Amino acid sequence: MQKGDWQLRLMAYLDNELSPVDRKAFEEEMAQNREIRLEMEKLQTVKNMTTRIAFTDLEDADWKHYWRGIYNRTEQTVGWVLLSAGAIILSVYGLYHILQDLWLDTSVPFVIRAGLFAFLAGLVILLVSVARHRLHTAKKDPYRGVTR
Amino acid sequence: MEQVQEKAWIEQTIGGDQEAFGHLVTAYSRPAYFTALGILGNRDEAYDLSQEAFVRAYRALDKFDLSRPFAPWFFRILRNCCLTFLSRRKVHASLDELRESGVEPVAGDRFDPSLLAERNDDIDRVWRALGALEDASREIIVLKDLQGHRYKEIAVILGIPEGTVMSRLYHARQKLKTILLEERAR
Repeated sequence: MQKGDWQLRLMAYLDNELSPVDRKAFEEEMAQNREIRLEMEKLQTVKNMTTRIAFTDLEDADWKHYWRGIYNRTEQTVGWVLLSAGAIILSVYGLYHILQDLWLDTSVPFVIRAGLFAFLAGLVILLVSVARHRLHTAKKDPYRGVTR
Repeated sequence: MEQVQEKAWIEQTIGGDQEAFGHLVTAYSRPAYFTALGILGNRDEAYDLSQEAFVRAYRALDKFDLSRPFAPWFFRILRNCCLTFLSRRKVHASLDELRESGVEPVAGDRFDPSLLAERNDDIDRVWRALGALEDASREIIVLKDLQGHRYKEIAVILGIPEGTVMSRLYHARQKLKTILLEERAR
Protein backbone atom coordinates (compact mmCIF):
# COMPACT_ATOMS: atom_id res chain seq x y z
CA MET A 1 0.00 0.00 0.00
CA GLN A 2 1.27 3.51 -0.86
CA LYS A 3 2.22 5.66 2.14
CA GLY A 4 0.14 8.67 1.00
CA ASP A 5 -2.89 6.41 0.79
CA TRP A 6 -2.77 5.13 4.38
CA GLN A 7 -1.78 8.51 5.83
CA LEU A 8 -5.16 9.96 4.90
CA ARG A 9 -7.07 6.90 6.07
CA LEU A 10 -5.07 6.95 9.29
CA MET A 11 -6.39 10.47 9.93
CA ALA A 12 -9.94 9.37 9.19
CA TYR A 13 -9.46 6.36 11.50
CA LEU A 14 -8.14 8.53 14.37
CA ASP A 15 -10.96 11.04 13.95
CA ASN A 16 -13.63 8.36 13.68
CA GLU A 17 -14.59 9.42 10.16
CA LEU A 18 -14.41 5.97 8.54
CA SER A 19 -17.48 3.83 7.94
CA PRO A 20 -17.62 0.61 10.05
CA VAL A 21 -16.60 -1.47 7.03
CA ASP A 22 -13.64 0.79 6.14
CA ARG A 23 -12.63 0.96 9.78
CA LYS A 24 -12.50 -2.82 10.08
CA ALA A 25 -10.55 -3.08 6.81
CA PHE A 26 -8.05 -0.47 8.02
CA GLU A 27 -7.59 -2.27 11.34
CA GLU A 28 -6.77 -5.45 9.44
CA GLU A 29 -4.21 -3.57 7.33
CA MET A 30 -2.76 -2.00 10.44
CA ALA A 31 -2.38 -5.39 12.09
CA GLN A 32 -0.16 -6.47 9.22
CA ASN A 33 1.82 -3.24 8.83
CA ARG A 34 4.10 -2.21 11.71
CA GLU A 35 4.85 1.21 10.18
CA ILE A 36 1.17 2.19 10.18
CA ARG A 37 0.73 0.86 13.70
CA LEU A 38 3.65 2.90 15.08
CA GLU A 39 2.51 6.04 13.26
CA MET A 40 -1.01 5.56 14.58
CA GLU A 41 0.24 5.29 18.16
CA LYS A 42 2.33 8.47 17.87
CA LEU A 43 -0.43 10.53 16.26
CA GLN A 44 -3.01 9.16 18.68
CA THR A 45 -0.83 10.54 21.49
CA VAL A 46 -0.71 13.95 19.80
CA LYS A 47 -4.48 13.94 19.29
CA ASN A 48 -5.08 12.93 22.91
CA MET A 49 -3.00 15.92 24.00
CA THR A 50 -4.71 18.50 21.75
CA THR A 51 -8.21 17.30 22.61
CA ARG A 52 -7.44 17.89 26.31
CA ILE A 53 -7.01 21.61 25.74
CA ALA A 54 -10.00 23.65 26.84
CA PHE A 55 -10.20 27.43 27.08
CA THR A 56 -11.26 29.49 30.06
CA ASP A 57 -14.74 30.85 29.49
CA LEU A 58 -15.45 34.57 29.65
CA GLU A 59 -17.23 36.19 32.56
CA ASP A 60 -21.05 36.22 32.39
CA ALA A 61 -20.93 40.01 32.11
CA ASP A 62 -18.84 39.74 28.92
CA TRP A 63 -21.41 37.43 27.33
CA LYS A 64 -24.21 39.76 28.37
CA HIS A 65 -22.48 42.62 26.53
CA TYR A 66 -21.66 40.48 23.50
CA TRP A 67 -24.93 40.85 21.61
CA ARG A 68 -25.25 44.49 22.64
CA GLY A 69 -21.81 45.13 21.10
CA ILE A 70 -22.86 43.56 17.80
CA TYR A 71 -26.18 45.43 17.83
CA ASN A 72 -24.37 48.73 18.39
CA ARG A 73 -21.91 48.04 15.60
CA THR A 74 -24.64 47.27 13.06
CA GLU A 75 -26.54 50.36 14.16
CA GLN A 76 -23.40 52.50 13.91
CA THR A 77 -22.69 51.12 10.43
CA VAL A 78 -26.07 52.37 9.22
CA GLY A 79 -25.35 55.73 10.89
CA TRP A 80 -21.94 56.04 9.25
CA VAL A 81 -23.28 55.15 5.79
CA LEU A 82 -26.04 57.76 6.06
CA LEU A 83 -23.66 60.35 7.49
CA SER A 84 -21.08 59.74 4.77
CA ALA A 85 -23.64 59.83 1.97
CA GLY A 86 -25.09 63.07 3.35
CA ALA A 87 -21.64 64.63 3.78
CA ILE A 88 -20.67 63.79 0.19
CA ILE A 89 -23.88 65.27 -1.23
CA LEU A 90 -23.55 68.44 0.87
CA SER A 91 -19.85 68.81 0.08
CA VAL A 92 -20.41 68.54 -3.67
CA TYR A 93 -23.31 71.00 -3.45
CA GLY A 94 -21.27 73.39 -1.31
CA LEU A 95 -18.23 73.23 -3.58
CA TYR A 96 -20.41 73.89 -6.61
CA HIS A 97 -21.84 76.99 -5.00
CA ILE A 98 -18.47 78.19 -3.74
CA LEU A 99 -17.14 77.89 -7.25
CA GLN A 100 -20.13 79.73 -8.68
CA ASP A 101 -20.19 82.50 -6.08
CA LEU A 102 -16.50 83.11 -5.57
CA TRP A 103 -14.56 81.90 -8.57
CA LEU A 104 -16.81 83.11 -11.34
CA ASP A 105 -17.64 86.41 -9.62
CA THR A 106 -15.05 88.90 -10.86
CA SER A 107 -15.91 91.33 -8.04
CA VAL A 108 -14.48 88.93 -5.41
CA PRO A 109 -11.00 90.08 -4.27
CA PHE A 110 -8.02 88.29 -5.78
CA VAL A 111 -6.82 87.08 -2.36
CA ILE A 112 -10.06 85.17 -1.77
CA ARG A 113 -9.91 83.63 -5.24
CA ALA A 114 -6.26 82.67 -4.69
CA GLY A 115 -7.20 81.11 -1.34
CA LEU A 116 -9.95 79.11 -3.01
CA PHE A 117 -7.54 77.93 -5.69
CA ALA A 118 -4.96 76.90 -3.07
CA PHE A 119 -7.63 75.02 -1.09
CA LEU A 120 -8.87 73.06 -4.12
CA ALA A 121 -5.35 72.38 -5.41
CA GLY A 122 -4.30 71.12 -1.94
CA LEU A 123 -7.36 68.89 -1.75
CA VAL A 124 -6.62 67.33 -5.15
CA ILE A 125 -2.91 66.81 -4.31
CA LEU A 126 -3.79 65.13 -0.99
CA LEU A 127 -6.38 62.83 -2.60
CA VAL A 128 -3.98 61.78 -5.38
CA SER A 129 -1.14 61.29 -2.89
CA VAL A 130 -3.21 59.12 -0.52
CA ALA A 131 -4.54 57.04 -3.44
CA ARG A 132 -1.01 56.52 -4.81
CA HIS A 133 0.31 55.57 -1.36
CA ARG A 134 -2.50 53.04 -0.84
CA LEU A 135 -1.81 51.51 -4.27
CA HIS A 136 1.91 51.32 -3.55
CA THR A 137 1.32 49.66 -0.14
CA ALA A 138 -1.10 47.14 -1.66
CA LYS A 139 1.48 46.15 -4.30
CA LYS A 140 4.23 45.74 -1.69
CA ASP A 141 2.05 43.74 0.75
CA PRO A 142 3.95 40.46 1.23
CA TYR A 143 0.72 38.71 2.27
CA ARG A 144 -1.33 39.70 -0.79
CA GLY A 145 -0.97 36.16 -2.19
CA VAL A 146 -2.13 34.49 1.02
CA THR A 147 -5.35 32.54 0.55
CA ARG A 148 -7.91 33.79 3.02
CA MET B 1 -29.18 23.25 16.06
CA GLU B 2 -32.02 22.59 13.64
CA GLN B 3 -31.54 24.08 10.21
CA VAL B 4 -35.27 24.86 10.02
CA GLN B 5 -35.04 27.08 13.09
CA GLU B 6 -31.92 28.80 11.77
CA LYS B 7 -33.59 29.41 8.44
CA ALA B 8 -36.57 31.00 10.20
CA TRP B 9 -34.29 33.32 12.19
CA ILE B 10 -32.36 34.30 9.06
CA GLU B 11 -35.57 35.03 7.16
CA GLN B 12 -36.88 37.12 10.06
CA THR B 13 -33.57 39.02 10.20
CA ILE B 14 -33.67 39.75 6.48
CA GLY B 15 -37.24 40.91 7.04
CA GLY B 16 -35.94 43.53 9.48
CA ASP B 17 -36.21 41.74 12.84
CA GLN B 18 -32.81 42.36 14.44
CA GLU B 19 -33.72 40.41 17.56
CA ALA B 20 -33.99 37.25 15.42
CA PHE B 21 -30.33 37.72 14.55
CA GLY B 22 -29.71 37.90 18.29
CA HIS B 23 -30.85 34.25 18.55
CA LEU B 24 -28.23 33.24 16.00
CA VAL B 25 -25.60 35.22 17.88
CA THR B 26 -26.55 33.54 21.16
CA ALA B 27 -26.33 30.11 19.52
CA TYR B 28 -22.93 30.68 17.91
CA SER B 29 -21.18 33.25 20.11
CA ARG B 30 -19.22 30.76 22.20
CA PRO B 31 -18.00 28.54 19.30
CA ALA B 32 -17.14 31.72 17.38
CA TYR B 33 -15.18 33.21 20.26
CA PHE B 34 -13.29 29.99 21.01
CA THR B 35 -12.46 29.40 17.33
CA ALA B 36 -11.08 32.94 17.07
CA LEU B 37 -9.18 32.41 20.32
CA GLY B 38 -7.56 29.28 18.90
CA ILE B 39 -6.40 31.18 15.82
CA LEU B 40 -5.43 34.48 17.47
CA GLY B 41 -4.32 33.40 20.95
CA ASN B 42 -5.56 36.64 22.49
CA ARG B 43 -8.77 37.09 24.46
CA ASP B 44 -9.56 40.71 23.50
CA GLU B 45 -8.83 40.19 19.82
CA ALA B 46 -10.93 37.00 19.76
CA TYR B 47 -13.85 38.83 21.42
CA ASP B 48 -13.60 41.77 19.05
CA LEU B 49 -13.12 39.80 15.82
CA SER B 50 -15.83 37.24 16.59
CA GLN B 51 -18.22 40.18 17.03
CA GLU B 52 -16.95 41.71 13.80
CA ALA B 53 -17.64 38.40 12.00
CA PHE B 54 -21.27 38.52 13.18
CA VAL B 55 -21.60 42.10 11.93
CA ARG B 56 -20.22 41.08 8.51
CA ALA B 57 -22.53 38.06 8.42
CA TYR B 58 -25.47 40.33 9.26
CA ARG B 59 -24.59 42.67 6.40
CA ALA B 60 -24.19 39.80 3.93
CA LEU B 61 -27.24 37.82 5.09
CA ASP B 62 -29.28 38.68 2.00
CA LYS B 63 -26.67 36.83 -0.11
CA PHE B 64 -26.84 33.71 2.10
CA ASP B 65 -28.15 30.53 0.45
CA LEU B 66 -31.03 29.46 2.69
CA SER B 67 -30.83 25.84 1.51
CA ARG B 68 -27.45 25.53 3.28
CA PRO B 69 -26.58 25.45 6.99
CA PHE B 70 -25.52 28.73 8.60
CA ALA B 71 -22.52 27.48 10.60
CA PRO B 72 -19.99 26.70 7.81
CA TRP B 73 -20.83 29.96 6.04
CA PHE B 74 -20.44 31.96 9.22
CA PHE B 75 -17.23 30.25 10.30
CA ARG B 76 -15.76 31.01 6.90
CA ILE B 77 -16.44 34.70 7.47
CA LEU B 78 -14.93 34.44 10.95
CA ARG B 79 -11.83 32.73 9.59
CA ASN B 80 -11.38 35.42 6.95
CA CYS B 81 -11.67 38.12 9.62
CA CYS B 82 -9.00 36.43 11.76
CA LEU B 83 -6.59 35.73 8.90
CA THR B 84 -6.91 39.24 7.49
CA PHE B 85 -6.24 40.63 10.95
CA LEU B 86 -3.19 38.39 11.42
CA SER B 87 -1.72 39.27 8.02
CA ARG B 88 -2.20 43.00 8.69
CA ARG B 89 -0.64 42.69 12.10
CA LYS B 90 2.36 40.88 10.61
CA VAL B 91 2.79 43.54 7.92
CA HIS B 92 2.42 46.28 10.51
CA ALA B 93 4.86 44.68 12.91
CA SER B 94 7.43 43.88 10.25
CA LEU B 95 7.30 47.38 8.81
CA ASP B 96 7.05 49.51 11.90
CA GLU B 97 8.78 47.65 14.67
CA LEU B 98 10.62 44.50 13.82
CA ARG B 99 12.64 45.70 10.86
CA GLU B 100 14.51 48.21 12.98
CA SER B 101 14.88 46.01 16.04
CA GLY B 102 15.94 42.98 13.99
CA VAL B 103 13.60 40.73 16.00
CA GLU B 104 11.51 38.25 14.04
CA PRO B 105 7.92 37.61 15.18
CA VAL B 106 7.34 34.28 16.89
CA ALA B 107 3.83 32.89 16.64
CA GLY B 108 4.04 31.35 20.11
CA ASP B 109 4.71 34.73 21.72
CA ARG B 110 1.08 35.73 21.53
CA PHE B 111 -0.28 32.47 22.94
CA ASP B 112 -0.82 33.11 26.58
CA PRO B 113 -1.32 29.91 28.66
CA SER B 114 -3.61 31.82 31.03
CA LEU B 115 -6.32 31.33 28.38
CA LEU B 116 -6.53 27.66 29.28
CA ALA B 117 -9.19 26.32 31.63
CA GLU B 118 -6.99 23.60 33.05
CA ARG B 119 -3.25 23.95 33.34
CA ASN B 120 -0.39 21.60 33.98
CA ASP B 121 3.04 21.19 32.41
CA ASP B 122 1.77 18.88 29.65
CA ILE B 123 -1.08 21.15 28.61
CA ASP B 124 1.16 24.24 28.68
CA ARG B 125 3.67 22.41 26.51
CA VAL B 126 1.01 21.49 23.92
CA TRP B 127 -0.32 25.04 23.96
CA ARG B 128 3.16 26.47 23.34
CA ALA B 129 3.69 23.94 20.54
CA LEU B 130 0.37 24.93 18.97
CA GLY B 131 1.44 28.57 19.16
CA ALA B 132 4.68 27.72 17.38
CA LEU B 133 2.83 26.16 14.42
CA GLU B 134 2.15 28.30 11.37
CA ASP B 135 -1.38 29.71 11.16
CA ALA B 136 -2.79 27.18 8.65
CA SER B 137 -1.64 24.14 10.64
CA ARG B 138 -2.84 25.52 13.95
CA GLU B 139 -6.17 26.49 12.41
CA ILE B 140 -6.99 22.98 11.20
CA ILE B 141 -6.07 21.43 14.56
CA VAL B 142 -8.22 24.01 16.36
CA LEU B 143 -11.17 23.29 14.07
CA LYS B 144 -10.85 19.52 14.49
CA ASP B 145 -9.56 18.84 18.00
CA LEU B 146 -10.61 21.92 19.97
CA GLN B 147 -13.87 22.71 18.18
CA GLY B 148 -14.81 19.16 17.20
CA HIS B 149 -15.94 19.91 13.63
CA ARG B 150 -16.42 17.01 11.22
CA TYR B 151 -14.27 16.79 8.07
CA LYS B 152 -17.23 17.79 5.94
CA GLU B 153 -17.74 20.98 7.96
CA ILE B 154 -14.02 21.85 7.94
CA ALA B 155 -13.97 21.38 4.16
CA VAL B 156 -16.78 23.92 3.77
CA ILE B 157 -15.25 26.38 6.25
CA LEU B 158 -11.83 26.27 4.59
CA GLY B 159 -13.17 25.88 1.04
CA ILE B 160 -11.08 22.78 0.33
CA PRO B 161 -11.90 19.12 -0.50
CA GLU B 162 -12.22 16.61 2.35
CA GLY B 163 -9.10 14.81 1.11
CA THR B 164 -7.12 18.03 1.55
CA VAL B 165 -8.53 18.38 5.08
CA MET B 166 -7.14 14.94 5.95
CA SER B 167 -3.84 15.70 4.29
CA ARG B 168 -3.44 19.07 6.06
CA LEU B 169 -4.42 17.53 9.35
CA TYR B 170 -1.88 14.77 8.91
CA HIS B 171 0.95 17.22 8.20
CA ALA B 172 -0.16 19.58 10.99
CA ARG B 173 -0.12 16.73 13.53
CA GLN B 174 3.26 15.59 12.25
CA LYS B 175 4.67 19.11 12.76
CA LEU B 176 3.12 19.30 16.19
CA LYS B 177 4.61 15.95 17.11
CA THR B 178 8.05 17.14 15.95
CA ILE B 179 7.81 20.38 17.95
CA LEU B 180 6.73 18.46 21.06
CA LEU B 181 9.59 15.99 20.70
CA GLU B 182 12.11 18.81 20.17
CA GLU B 183 10.85 20.59 23.25
CA ARG B 184 11.07 17.44 25.32
CA ALA B 185 14.67 16.90 24.13
CA ARG B 186 15.74 20.38 25.38
